[in-house]
Amino acid sequence: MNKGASRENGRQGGLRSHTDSSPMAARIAVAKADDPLQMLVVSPPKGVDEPLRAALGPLRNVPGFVSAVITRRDGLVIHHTFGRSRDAAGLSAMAAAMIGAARATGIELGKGLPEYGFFRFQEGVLLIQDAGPEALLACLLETDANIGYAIAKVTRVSQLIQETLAEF
Amino acid sequence: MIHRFTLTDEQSRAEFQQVSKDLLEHNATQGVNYWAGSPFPTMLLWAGRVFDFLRVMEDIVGFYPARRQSYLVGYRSGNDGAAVSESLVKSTADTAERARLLGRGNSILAGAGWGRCAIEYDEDAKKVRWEFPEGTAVGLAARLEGARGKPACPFMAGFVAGWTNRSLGTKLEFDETACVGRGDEHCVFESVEFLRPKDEYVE
Repeated sequence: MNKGASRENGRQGGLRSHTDSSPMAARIAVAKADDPLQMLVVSPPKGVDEPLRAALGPLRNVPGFVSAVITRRDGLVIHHTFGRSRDAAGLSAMAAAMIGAARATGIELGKGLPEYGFFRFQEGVLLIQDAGPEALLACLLETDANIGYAIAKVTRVSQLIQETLAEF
Repeated sequence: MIHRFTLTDEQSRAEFQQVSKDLLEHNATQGVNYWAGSPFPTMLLWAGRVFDFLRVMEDIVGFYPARRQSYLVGYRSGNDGAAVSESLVKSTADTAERARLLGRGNSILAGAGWGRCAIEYDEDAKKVRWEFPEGTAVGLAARLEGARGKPACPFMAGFVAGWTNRSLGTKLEFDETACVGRGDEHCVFESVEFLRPKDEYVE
């Protein structure tokens, strides 16, 4: 057998089953088992948690308030009131994309930047607002919440968040 | 203690020979390539298309959300790459071994044609810096598309973050502090504990 044919026969890795026992395949399978994105956890600046928790305080008094998340502009959770971090992470990433798309839309239409985003779903309401250059605030409410009152509160809390983050 | 990992031209060529030639297998029936026995198909892709992932997304959702999605994809790539290398070393409990694992990152990147870099790890300050003196492949591709005001390589930032964190057991983020796609002379990625978005990058 010539050298070329031998080399060709050696390149059959792709025809093997994924349960193949090649050492490299096994190593990659192990690497996939623990999702690196789940391990991608960074912590916000030390000491910022408590002031942010306090800043969100007024939202808890809004009738129909469900939960809120303070999101870094790229979609990373900075602080949240959700029961599960996974829920906060999902909303955080989506809220960042939604506000980003809204900003791009405003620019595209020549209508300026959005002051807030408001989505009424079948089973809830989502309010999103910028909280300075670094962050934004996403707030989940019950469907029957007083939206005007909630927007006023979210606006005030967003300012508090911006001021708090500027201090750290 | 400061660890510094660099490659010579000769070492870069040797890594290219191994990573991009010796370890790449071609399945002629499928017309698909495989790397080092991995079941995952491997293909050549213009570096500019990696930049396009960012550019297309940022046109819709803005720079930072697009940056993060690109960063996450790169992160997985870097993390998995380091995990494979990690499985080849005897003990990752040893700090020096972990540092060497970090240093393997430049061999893989040069060998795969992603860019030749110097990695500096300040063990005491817990800071890591990856510098690509000639730019990353993605950054160079972005430069050909014309000057931009924002970094072009969040995918690479994610890669070096994933590789670094897997190697050292850290939870660092990486910021692109210099980018040839932005007109800088080099591409530089520096670790930070928590990335602070820059006002000028928010559209």
